[in-house]
Amino acid sequence: MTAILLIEDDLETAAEIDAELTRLGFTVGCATDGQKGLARALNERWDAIIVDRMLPNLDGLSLIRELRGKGVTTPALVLSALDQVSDRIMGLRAGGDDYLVKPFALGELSARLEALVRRPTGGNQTVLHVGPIELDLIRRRATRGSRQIDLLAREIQLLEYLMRREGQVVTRQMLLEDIFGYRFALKTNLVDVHLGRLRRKLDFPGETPILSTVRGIGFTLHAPE
Amino acid sequence: MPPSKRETVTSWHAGVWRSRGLRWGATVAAILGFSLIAMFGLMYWRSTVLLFDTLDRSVMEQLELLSARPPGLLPFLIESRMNHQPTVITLAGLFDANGHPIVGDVTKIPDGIALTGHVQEVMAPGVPSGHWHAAGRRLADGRILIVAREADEILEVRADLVRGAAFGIIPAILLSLLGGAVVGVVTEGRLRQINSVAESIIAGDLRERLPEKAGGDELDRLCAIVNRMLERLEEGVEALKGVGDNIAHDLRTPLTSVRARLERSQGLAGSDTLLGLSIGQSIHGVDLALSIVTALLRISDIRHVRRQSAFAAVDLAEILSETAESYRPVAEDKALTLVCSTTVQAVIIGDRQLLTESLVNLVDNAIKFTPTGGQVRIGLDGTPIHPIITVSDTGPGIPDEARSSVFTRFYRADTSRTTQGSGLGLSLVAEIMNLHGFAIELGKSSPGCRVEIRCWRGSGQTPEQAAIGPAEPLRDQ
Repeated sequence: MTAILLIEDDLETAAEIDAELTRLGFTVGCATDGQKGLARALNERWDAIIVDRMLPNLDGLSLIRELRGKGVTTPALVLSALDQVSDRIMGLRAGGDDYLVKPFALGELSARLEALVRRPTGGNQTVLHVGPIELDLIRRRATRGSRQIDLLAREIQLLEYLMRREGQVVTRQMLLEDIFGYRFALKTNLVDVHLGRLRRKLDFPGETPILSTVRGIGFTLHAPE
Repeated sequence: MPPSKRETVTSWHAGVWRSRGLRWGATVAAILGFSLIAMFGLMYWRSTVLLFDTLDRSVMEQLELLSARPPGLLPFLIESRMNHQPTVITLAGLFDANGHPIVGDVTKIPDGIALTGHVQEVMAPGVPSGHWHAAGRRLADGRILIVAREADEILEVRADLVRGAAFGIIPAILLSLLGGAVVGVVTEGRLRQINSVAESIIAGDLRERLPEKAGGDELDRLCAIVNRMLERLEEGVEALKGVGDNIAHDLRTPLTSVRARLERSQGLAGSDTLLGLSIGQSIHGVDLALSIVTALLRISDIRHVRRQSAFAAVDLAEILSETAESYRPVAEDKALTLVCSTTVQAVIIGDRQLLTESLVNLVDNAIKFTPTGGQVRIGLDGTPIHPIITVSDTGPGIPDEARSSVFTRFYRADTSRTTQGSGLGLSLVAEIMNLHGFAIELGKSSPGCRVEIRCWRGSGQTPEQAAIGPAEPLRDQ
C-alpha cells in the first residue's frame, strides 16, 4: 500500500482529495496545520507528501525545508494558489519535487503523485524497452519488433518520457510543462496533436495498441498483455 | 499605470551645457569680464588720454611761446634751448619758406603735418617706427616753426596696459568658466547617477534608492525626500501584491474543493449521462473563471513585480524555430501552412520563458483563427541589433475601425468580451513586451492579421501613444 501524507488546512479540499486518493487505493493520512504535518512527516513512514503552500503555524515551503534539513527525502508535491513562475521556482528550490497550482483536476493530482512515488525507470539506460517497442537514445532510433519507426526529435522526447513512465498516466499538463516547457494554457490541442501523430507511428492498424488515451486526463503507454 | 516614455539625456555634452553649474559659471565669467573690461577701459582712457593731453598741451604752449618771440631771435633761442636746456624734452626746428632746415633738433619737416598750430601724431623723421606728437606753424615772414615731443613712451605704457589687462582678464574669465564647468560636470555626474537609478525605478525596481549623503547639499536633501517617497510607494505596491495573492488564495482554495467535488460527482454519475455532461460543463465553467483570474494576476505580476532578474541572453531564432517545430503538426492537422523564416541571427537580453510564452501565444492564436487552407508565418528579420519578429496569418484579421480599440484593450487588460478571442492573451503579450521595452504593433496583412515586435529596448511607443496615435506604416506593405 502506498502511504500519502496530506497537509492541507482547507477541510473541504482535504476531504475531496482524501476520498479520491482512497478510491484509487492509496492510504491517506491528514494534517491540517504546518506543525502537526511536520511532526507526522518526521515520525511516520510515507511514500509521498502533499503539502499546501499556505498553512497555519508553519508554511509549506518551510516545512519541506525542515524535512530536507533533517535528511527526510520523501518526495513532496506542493499545492499552491500562487502560480507565478517565481513561486514555482521557490517551491522547487525549497526541496519540493513537483508543484501543482490550485485548482487542479483530481486526475492531475493522482497522476503526478503516481509519478512521484514511482519515479522514472531506467534512469541511465540508453536503450529503453516497452513490450515490442525499443528506443535507442544514442542512435535516436525506434523500432516496433522488426519495424523501423521514423520519429522526429520532439516525438523521440515524447516517447522517451512515456516509456520511462510505462503504465502510468501522463497528463497533458505534465507533457506541456516537461516536454514543451510551456507553463500556461493554450487554445489549440497541441499535446493531443503530437500524441496523435506518435500513436499513428507506434500503433499500425492491426497491431495491439500500446499508446492509449485516458479520457479527460492524459495518456498512458503500456505493454500489451 | 504604464511608465511614461523615458526621457534620456541625448548626449553628455548637451547635459553639461544645460547644467546649472556651467550656466552659473558662464554668467559669473560674463559679469567678471564686463567689470574688468570696464575698469581697464577707464584706466586706459584716464591714463593715456591725460598723458597725451599734458604732452599735447606742452607742445602747443612751446609753439605759442616760440612763435610769440621776435622773429630775429628765433634761431638763437632754439639753439640756446638745445645748448643750455638739455633737460627740455621738447624738440623744435626752424625751416625756411621752402622747408629747408635753418636751426634746431627737428631737421626735417615730418610728413603729413598740417601747419595749423594743432597737435598731430606723426612719424618721427629719421627714427624708425618712432612717433611724435607735433605741431607746426608758418610764421609771418614765411619761415616754418615745428615743435614736437616723442610719444613712444606713452604708447609703450598704453601697450603695457593692454598686455597687463590681457594677462589679467582672460585668465580670470577662463578660470570662472572652468570653475563653472567643474561645478557643472560634478552636478551633472550626480544627476546622471540619480537618472540611472530613477530609470531602474521606473523599470520597476522599487527597492532602488537615490544616492544621498548625510548633511549634504540641496540635491542630497531632495534625494532623501524622494527616497522617503519611494519607501511609501514600495510599501503600497507590496500591500497591493499581497492583496492579489490573497485574492488568488481565497478564490482558488474554495474553487479547488468545488472542482474536486464536481469531478467526483461526475465519476459517480458517469460522464456519459445527462447529469455527468452537465457536471462536465460546470467544471469547464470553473476552469474558465479561474483562467481569467490567473491571467489577470499574471499580467499584474509582470507589470508590478517586473522580474527582470530572470533576464539573460536569448537567441530569438532558436525560440522561433522551436515554436515552429512544436506547432507544425498542429498547423498541418488544420491543413494550414506554417512558415518560419529567420533572416538574421539575433541574441538579445530578455526573459526566455516569457518571450517564448508571447510567441507561443501569438502563434497559437493565429493557428486557432486561421481557416483551413491558410497560412501562418513567423519571421525574424531586421538586423542583429534591431531584430523584428513578425507573426502574420491569412485569417479574418481585424477590421480597420476596431484596430485602435484593439490597441487600447491590448494594453489595458480590459477583460470584457475578450475571453474568447485575443484579449487577455494579447494583453499578456503586450505586458511582456512592455517589461522588455519592446514595441508591439498590430498591423494589417492582406488578408489577415500581422503582429510585429521590435525587439530592442526603447523601440516602443508608450501604450498611451499607441492607443491614441495611428500605427506606423509597416515596412513591407
